[in-house]
Amino acid sequence: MREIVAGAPAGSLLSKSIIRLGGFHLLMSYLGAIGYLMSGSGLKELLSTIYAPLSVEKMMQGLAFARAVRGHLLATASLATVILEVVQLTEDEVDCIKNMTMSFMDEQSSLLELNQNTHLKALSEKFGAAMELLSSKGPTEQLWVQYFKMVSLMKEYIHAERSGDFNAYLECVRRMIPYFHAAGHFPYAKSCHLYIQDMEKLHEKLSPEEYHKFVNDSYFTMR
Amino acid sequence: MTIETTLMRSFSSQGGMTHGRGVTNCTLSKLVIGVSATHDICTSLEEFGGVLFSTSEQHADFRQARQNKDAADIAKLTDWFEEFPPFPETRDIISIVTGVVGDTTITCYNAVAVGKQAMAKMVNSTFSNIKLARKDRALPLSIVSSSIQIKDEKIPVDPFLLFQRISISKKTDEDLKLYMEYELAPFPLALFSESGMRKSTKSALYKLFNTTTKDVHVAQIHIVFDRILHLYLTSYLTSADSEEPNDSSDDEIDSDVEHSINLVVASVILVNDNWNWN
Repeated sequence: MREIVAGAPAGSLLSKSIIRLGGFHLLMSYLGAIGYLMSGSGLKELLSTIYAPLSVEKMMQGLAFARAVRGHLLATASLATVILEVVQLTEDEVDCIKNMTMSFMDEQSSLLELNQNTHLKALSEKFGAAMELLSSKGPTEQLWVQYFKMVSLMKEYIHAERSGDFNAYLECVRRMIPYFHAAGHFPYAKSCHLYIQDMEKLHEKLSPEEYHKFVNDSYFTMR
Repeated sequence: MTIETTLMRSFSSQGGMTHGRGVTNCTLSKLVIGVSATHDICTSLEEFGGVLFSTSEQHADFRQARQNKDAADIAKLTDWFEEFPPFPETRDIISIVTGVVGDTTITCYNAVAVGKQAMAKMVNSTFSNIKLARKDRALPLSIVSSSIQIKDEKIPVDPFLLFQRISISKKTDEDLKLYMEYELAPFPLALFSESGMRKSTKSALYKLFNTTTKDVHVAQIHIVFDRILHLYLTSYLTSADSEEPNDSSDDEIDSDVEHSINLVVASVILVNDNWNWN
């Protein structure tokens, strides 16, 4: 598609169109990359405790999208509990976070408030430090921490797409590229490079008004 | 919002228009016209009874059932991690289930670095000229436990299948040594020869049987006459030929010899004493 547009004569209607990389299939390929990098590590056996083994095979290939997303989310949730055992939290922080999660449905706080909460900040910092500490211990640890990071990237990507945050979305795509290369998903690896380069030049192609709507008013996923 | 939460609620809840049964145009119009009157009644009834019809959450993840299942599954996964800790504190890359140790070629734990290396190779080349090589990708752990090298290329093999084969054909420990002596063939030799897939002759099984030389003694043959079948055939054939109706008793067979020969053949079962019916 991108080649067709690039080959269209200048000034024609076709040459003005902008090709985007489909988000769903990009994510499917990314899930496949996770499955490839984690193959043989025990992830398959882990997921087989909650899904049928043949389904898990499909999930590792990046098919069975909804299942794969749920499986990875649950796997990282329980992996997080393992990591949290290493994290040293003060009592104050534990209490605060417990209260917040218990009352989350009743008194919803905005994302901005949450971002400014010092206890949460401390938690995420300590969690990050714990992951670094673990991954420095040996390659197996590094692999599982990497798995956690990969799934976190998947979460961020879905969040960015659903909330319509264009810059965060592009950043996620950019961070996915090395994984595509490492997993041998070459068509997506190549296309992502091209796609990001195209998107960087987006303001040249769109009028300022359109660009603003596209980037800031999240027209790229919703209206 | 008001319409959605009050007026439309009766439509979409149990027993309503969009739920549970096929609705014809006739009923639909009755429902729509009547809703202005029935709505108040329904609401008052619900208030009086203290119960409320409502639809479940639109998104499956918000429903209670899914949340319970998630919690149960996470508990299962956490138990699994307790059994096979993901941070085993070794200096090697290992599979946390099987304990297979990877050598230095396994780089999947360092995917970002591997990916960036591959990216660095394609700097300054145009899109159509980019060549990405499969050898630049990271190798996952599954390569260690299940691959063989054929002409500089690593090919994954299902170790379970291999185990099954060996455990079936192994008779002594000496055999096992013999099996382990060779490098694996890339395909099962029972199914493939050097030229390609083996084909079987379909009549091969038939040829395996010996022809019998036993004579059948006619004297020992009993003739079993199946009367019911004979009756059936007689009446069927005669009525089909629109001859005069036969009253179908055995005594009258002689009257229609040609006919009855056919019938007897059809309704007789030969029994030979020599044949073993077991």
